[in-house]
This record gives sequence, C-alpha cells and structure tokens, in this order.
Amino acid sequence: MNPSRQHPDVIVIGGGVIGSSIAYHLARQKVSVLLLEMGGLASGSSGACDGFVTLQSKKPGIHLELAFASLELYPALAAELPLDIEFEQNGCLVVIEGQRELEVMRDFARRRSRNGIEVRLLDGQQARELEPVLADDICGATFNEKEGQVNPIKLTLGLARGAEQLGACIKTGQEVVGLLGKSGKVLGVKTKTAEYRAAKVVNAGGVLAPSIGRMSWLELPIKPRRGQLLVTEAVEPQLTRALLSSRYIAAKFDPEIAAQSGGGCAIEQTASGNFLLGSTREFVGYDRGTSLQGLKTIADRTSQIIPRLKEFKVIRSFAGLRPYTPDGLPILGPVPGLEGLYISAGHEGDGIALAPITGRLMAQLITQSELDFPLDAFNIERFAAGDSGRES
Amino acid sequence: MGHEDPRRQVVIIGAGLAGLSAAQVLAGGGASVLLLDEGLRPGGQYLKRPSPPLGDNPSLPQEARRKKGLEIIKAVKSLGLECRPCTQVLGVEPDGRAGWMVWGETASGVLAAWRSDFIIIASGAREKFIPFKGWTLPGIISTGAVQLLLKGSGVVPAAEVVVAGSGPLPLAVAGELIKAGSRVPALLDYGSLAQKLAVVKLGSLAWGKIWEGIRHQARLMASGGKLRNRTAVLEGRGHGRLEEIVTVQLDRRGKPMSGSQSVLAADCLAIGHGFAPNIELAQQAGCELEHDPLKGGWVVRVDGDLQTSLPACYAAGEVSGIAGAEKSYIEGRMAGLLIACKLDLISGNRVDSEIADLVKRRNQQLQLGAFINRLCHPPAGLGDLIEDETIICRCEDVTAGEIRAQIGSGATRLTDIKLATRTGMGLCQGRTCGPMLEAIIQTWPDAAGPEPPPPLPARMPVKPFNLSALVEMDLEKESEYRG
Amino acid sequence: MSRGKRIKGIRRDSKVTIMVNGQPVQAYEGETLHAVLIILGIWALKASRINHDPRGVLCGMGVCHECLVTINGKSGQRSCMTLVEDGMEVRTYGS
Repeated sequence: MNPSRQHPDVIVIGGGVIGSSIAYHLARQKVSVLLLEMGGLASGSSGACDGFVTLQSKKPGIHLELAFASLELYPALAAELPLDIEFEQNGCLVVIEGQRELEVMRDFARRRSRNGIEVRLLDGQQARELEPVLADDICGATFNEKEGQVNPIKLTLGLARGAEQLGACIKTGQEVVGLLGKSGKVLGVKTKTAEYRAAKVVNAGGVLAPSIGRMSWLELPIKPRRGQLLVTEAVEPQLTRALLSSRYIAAKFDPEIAAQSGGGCAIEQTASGNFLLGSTREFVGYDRGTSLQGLKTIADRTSQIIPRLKEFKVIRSFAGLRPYTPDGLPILGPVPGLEGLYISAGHEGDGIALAPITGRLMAQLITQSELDFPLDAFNIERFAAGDSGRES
Repeated sequence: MGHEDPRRQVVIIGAGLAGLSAAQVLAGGGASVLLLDEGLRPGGQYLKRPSPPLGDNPSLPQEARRKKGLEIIKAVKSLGLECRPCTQVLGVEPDGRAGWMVWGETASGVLAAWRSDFIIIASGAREKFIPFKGWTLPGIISTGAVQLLLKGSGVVPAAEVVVAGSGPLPLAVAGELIKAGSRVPALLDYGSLAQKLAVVKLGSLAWGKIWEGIRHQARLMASGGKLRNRTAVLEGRGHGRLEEIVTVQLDRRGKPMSGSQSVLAADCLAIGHGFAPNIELAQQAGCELEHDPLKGGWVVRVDGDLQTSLPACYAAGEVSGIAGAEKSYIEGRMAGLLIACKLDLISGNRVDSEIADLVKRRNQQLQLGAFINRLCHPPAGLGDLIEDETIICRCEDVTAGEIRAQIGSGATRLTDIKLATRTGMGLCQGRTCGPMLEAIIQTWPDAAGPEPPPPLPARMPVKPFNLSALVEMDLEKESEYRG
Repeated sequence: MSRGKRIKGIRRDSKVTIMVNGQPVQAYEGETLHAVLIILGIWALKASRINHDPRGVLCGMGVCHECLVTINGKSGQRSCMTLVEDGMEVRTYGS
C-alpha cells in the first residue's frame, strides 16, 4: 500500500455526499485522503433523499448565498466527475397551492429578487404552460430557471470515485469507534478492526455526527428529522422541472405553519422516469421505516398538484433522516479544543444542494487556503451556552 | 375504509396450503378469521386450480397431498370462512399496543385495512433462477410457470419443450408435460446423478419422492427424451425469441468444462432452480430473518411454536423454510392449533399429542427439504456460466458485467449494488434478481467470508399498487405527518 | 414457431372472444390471458425498460412482471394474473 495511504493527511469520517465531496475537493488539492464509511457509500441519508438543487427553499442570508455558490459549482462538477450525475438545470417551480398564499408568495418573489435570486411570479396559466401536468386549480407559481435536480446517489458515488481517481483511499464497512488524540491534538481514528493515523480528521457523519462528536466529548445539536419518500414506476418523461409546494418551504422553517395547514410536498421526475414524491418531517429518532399515514399524506398532497400521478403505480417507499440543527444552518468548521478535528454536518434537507460548496470550503479550511466564504456563521461555537443558535 | 371493518382474532396472509390449513383449524374452532390472498382463487401455487367454468386437468398427477389440500378448501368454504382473493397485502403495522393492522389493495382496487390480534404470514415462495446470456428471450419460461399453466389453464406452452434446472421440479415438469401431450427432447440437470442418488440416505421419508421421480424419468425415457446430468445452459439464442440453446457440461466441482459445449434447437425452454421464500412482508413487519442454505436462503426466523420474533405474529409454510407441500400443511395446522390455544378456543391438553406428532413430522420434512435445497445450490462455477452481458436485473436491464464492476470496486452488500446500478429498483422489487445477486456475491473468487450478504431491505408497499388507491383511502387520523 | 396447446379432456364450457392486436381471438372463460397468448404463439409481450427488448412470461405467478400487456388501454397489466373476458382488447410488444 502507498505509504501516504497508511498515513493520510486527512481522514474523512462518513461516505455520504458531504464526506465524499470533502474527499474529492481535498484530493483535487493533492491532499492525501482516507475516507471511512461504516456501511456502503450513500447507504445513509444521501441514498434516501430527493435530488433537488434549489435556492427558493433556502433561508435568505448566508444560507441562500451558500446555496447559490453551490449551484454555480454544479455544471463544472457534473462535467468533471467520472459518473453521469444526471444534473439538470431546468429550473424549479414553487407551486402556490391556494389563493391565500398568493400574496405571501408575491412578497417572497420580490424579496428573493432583492437577494439576487431571480424569481418570477407566474399565474396559473403560465405555470401550466411550463408544466402541462399541473392541476387546473393551481393559481400560480414562482419560478427560478437556474435551479435544478441531480441524482443524489450518483452524485455521492461520482464524488467518491472521482476522489479515488485523484488518489484518495476509500474504505467501506469501517465504523469509527473512537478518536485518537494526545495533548489536545488529534492523531487519528480507531475502527472496530484497525487504527488509522492522520493529523486531521473531519466528522462528516450526517445524522450520526453526534455519536462521533461524543468521542471527543462534544455534544452536537444535530437530530434526525425523518422524511418519507414515495417512488412510482418509471413512466414517460412528463415533468421537466423540480416542483415544490409553497407550504413545503414554509413548513420547513416554521413549525406553526406546518401544524396549521400541512407540510406541502416536493415532486420530481428522475432521469430514469420514476416520480419521486415527498415528504414528511418527523422527529422519530433513527427510525428509517415508512408508514401508511406518511405515504397517504404524500400521495394526497402530490396528486392535488399533479392529478395524473393517480394513474401510476407506487413501487417502493423509503425514508431518509435529515440532520437537523436548531437554526437550520449546517455546522462547518474546526472543533474547539482538539487541534486537527473538524466538523461538517447538519445540512438538514440541503445536503445535496450544498455538497459542492461544502466540499470546497472544507478543503479550503483544512488546507488553510483562502475561503470563498467566511465560515463564522456555521461554527459549532454558536451553540455555546446561552446561545443555542437563532431558532427563526 | 369507508365502513368500519370489525377487528378479527386472526388475519392470515396467503391462502396456500399453509394458510388454508391454519384457517381450517381456527375457523373450525370458532375464531374470527380473515384469509387474504393475491391469487385469483385460494390455493396458492401448489393447489392452483382453473377458474370456473374451466374444468380440471385430468392429466395431472393425483398426489395424495393435493387431494387433501383440495378437501381443505372445500372444508373452509363450508365453515363460512371469510376469504378475499385478488387481494394484495402491501404492509403490516402494529395496531396500537397489541395486535396488528394489515393493509392491502382489494379486488376492486380499493385500499383497505384489517385489524387483528394475531397474524399468520403464509406468503409462500417464488422460483429461483440461474441466468445465462440470452435468458430473457421470449420462449424461456420457468418450470413453475409451466406447472401453473397445466394446473390453472389446462395448456401446454409448446408442442416441444426443453427443460433445464436443478432439484426435483424440472423432472416432474418434464413428466407432466409428456403426460399432457408435449414432447420433451431433453432434460438438462445441473446436478449429478450421485447427488440425486444420495436421496436414499433419507430412507422411507423419501420413498414418495423417489417413486415420483422414477415414474417421471420412465416417462421421459419412454418418449425418447434424454436426461443429461451435470449439464447447464450457457446461452439462449434467437431473433426476438428463443431459437436454440448452448449447453455445457459441468465437472465434479460444478465448473463448465471447455470444449463440452453443444447446440440444441429449442423454441421453448423451461428453467427452474428451486425456490426462495417470500419473506418481504415479514421483513417489512420487522420480523427477524435467518440465513439457512438448507432452507433456501433467507427465511423468516421462527421458534418451535412457529412464532416469529414479533409478538402475535406467526409464520407458516415455505416462508420459514423451503420444504414442500407437506411441511406447509403441517405448519399451517400447528400455527392454527397453537393460536387456538392462545385464544382459549381449545385446551392445550387436547392438542398436545397432535402437536407433538406434527413437530415430529415437521422435522422429517425439514430433512427432506434440506436435501432438495442442497440440490438447488448454485454450482461453484456459477461465475463462468454467467457471461458479462447476461442480464441480472430484468426490470432495469442491468448486466452481470455492471454488477461485477461494483463488486470489484468493493461493494459487498446487495444494497450497495442496488444503489450503484439500480438492480432491484424495478417492478419486481428485487424478487427475481435478489437470489441471483446473492449467489454471484457468494461464488465470487475471494468472497468476503461465509457470512451471506443481508437481503435487500423490504418496506411497504411490498407489492406495486395504484397511487389512486392510496388517495381514495379514508384514514381516520392524518395529522401526525403534517410538515 | 412454438405455440401452446390446449390439453384434451378438459371441460371448456363457455367461449369468449377477445381482441389481440386488433384481431378477434376465441378463448374460454376461466383461462388466463397469458395462456391464451401462448396458445397464439405470442411470446413477446412487453418491452424491457431500458433496451426495449422483447420479454415474455417467466414466473407465471405475478412476481416477475415480465408478462405485462396493455388491456383495454391500460398498460402494464400482468397477463398471468388476468382472466380473459369477453370483449377484452389486448395489445402486446410492438403492437
């Protein structure tokens, strides 16, 4: 084995989209990386989610800026990676479900435009011209033509394989059970069967980041928020764009809206022709099962927006666990008190959209290069005693 | 669910021999029972019958077990048992703190849910295959499908059928085809004569099967058909449908011998390599599984009382181990009696001796099953029989080459292969490709170890169904999943 | 070309007429659609999803989903799980 692989510069814990992206971006900088994944690549949340790469679902401010920067990286990434990640940039429609929300969405479109995100407000007819499958009673939509969708599994595998081609070493079936450290410096990690040494370790464990955090007595405020998804049989292409409902966005950030009027939905037709319908937002611990009620809720909401979904067969369902943080922002940056330890987790439902920029920023941070963005807003220390982040 | 469905004491999923014999005991004992089945009529595969007004096929062998089974169907009918055919069970959830909710798509396409104290999962088995290049050509049909055509529609698939496979079913199908008027020019058995002759070690237990086998073989020989042992199918060729097959001899280690290929004209080929238990519903419910090659691979784990790892959830028949009709009948009866005791419908004392007898007979059948399942093990040379272009996932057109690339890159589990190649993401939900994937991984040159890879996860719906039915369903509570 | 055959000695009381790829075909009530198609020698029933290759009956028991045909305008119906009905319109691979 290549001696640099025995002692890589960086160990990345977690073979989901975030870990793979970090490994890729580090490898691109000629850093020697070892990626350790406890199961298989994309076997966690990254293999159980939809593929939306959107801006309209992000919070204005640093979150939205991050998403914008990430979206800009996608076309080049899609071209570079050794797999076809099925990235399409046909735009995203946020369907307005009721007249009551038309005003809210008009304001939303205006505010987004002020933030530099071009969002057009369409009436029902215009929306149906873009997507004929929309129900007749849809009264309007906001549309951003830059947004898109990707295949999250292929993205993760593509990033991982890309990293390997650039010299990274990936080991699956390797569960990290402890960190190695001395005198305030990280020395490496311990798995069930081996020890790996490196001066830098990144916790990209997603919903499992807290258990890795605890290996250094760090409590990470990340908890799993389950999203169920329904998959239909593959059918002829008939939905070009990613579709969200206005309530889906609202409910993400405001639990009161969620409680009052339901949680909205997300609809996409994948490159293989299946419709991917979502979703729920539930705090049920680490349970990745799906439920009849969850599936029914998704079916009800999505078929109101696209009635012809009722003609298709449901062929499977699955659930992914979104790594939820109290303020909706990921936790990116160094871990205080242990030199060489970094955290990059807590992306909630934005992992896919933010994977490119996260990988890039973390690689910049770790190699002490200039950062595209200041990472202060994402630092773990924002959750220090007395300030558990802004719950907005 | 527009109307209130009454809670029952037992819901049985699967009206094959196991489900029927459990239903007979329970309904006979006065329990409120609901029997659900996806087929057109109760009976499953073994007791498959034509739909009226089509008459029965007189050329079928008159097995005692089948006769007994058909009598059970009559008996449960006269008991007024509630039976719903054409009903696909899609999922099972616990119902509150005790009992179960089973939901499914009914004959009319509507979703319904049924609640009960106990469930018996008797979902049977499906056929396993050893694929080869070109095996997806129309004209290549399973041995099970041939039997079902004979039993269910009174039809032979062709005037001339070549039969290939492992285990006792291909020989039985060859015999039944000949009796029904078809020609079988060749029966290709992947196994060796020695392997089959070892059946005598089972003693009197196996006489019935041995006698059947001899009769079928005599029929085959009398008709001029050739039985070729240690022979596999390497390729199926044709333009849009099967026209000829390439066969190859296997050596004692089960590896194809170079230079032993030969071409056989065939436009209908029947193939079959044993059965895999339909564990998906039990898996979805959360039952623990165990892997036992002598029971057909991944099976639902049950204790001596046929209880799964979940409370009030029993499994009977092929789903807990492939061993044939007799075991299914025995286990259905056992489960029925044991649940009837739990429901205080009969006293334990009264059934103790019957249970003891059933347990003894069950163990015997498991021995017979073990022997048959061993015959159906994929040969060690499986890798050499499957060329890279061979389609493994028929639903998504994924080839062996693509799958091998993933294993070569470190994929050790079926889910890894599924995520990377889409194998198992189609309409059959991994039922056809799953066992083949497992065999490919296990016969890989430096296979990880003796531990078999876990099966593909099964979540609801365990069968495809129409989204409209979900929308039209009227669930009382809906609020938990808002946002 | 291989065609299936009806076994002699079975009671077949009730005739039905179905349309297969635009042609009227006589069958018997109680038969499953896949049996009738095999009798006609129509083995190519559906197109495989990616390569659009012809596929036909494999498992015969509703599991493999290879025997899918269009019945009365609805695609993706398992012919092995469907009984023939008078007036049924069936379309198979390439039709």
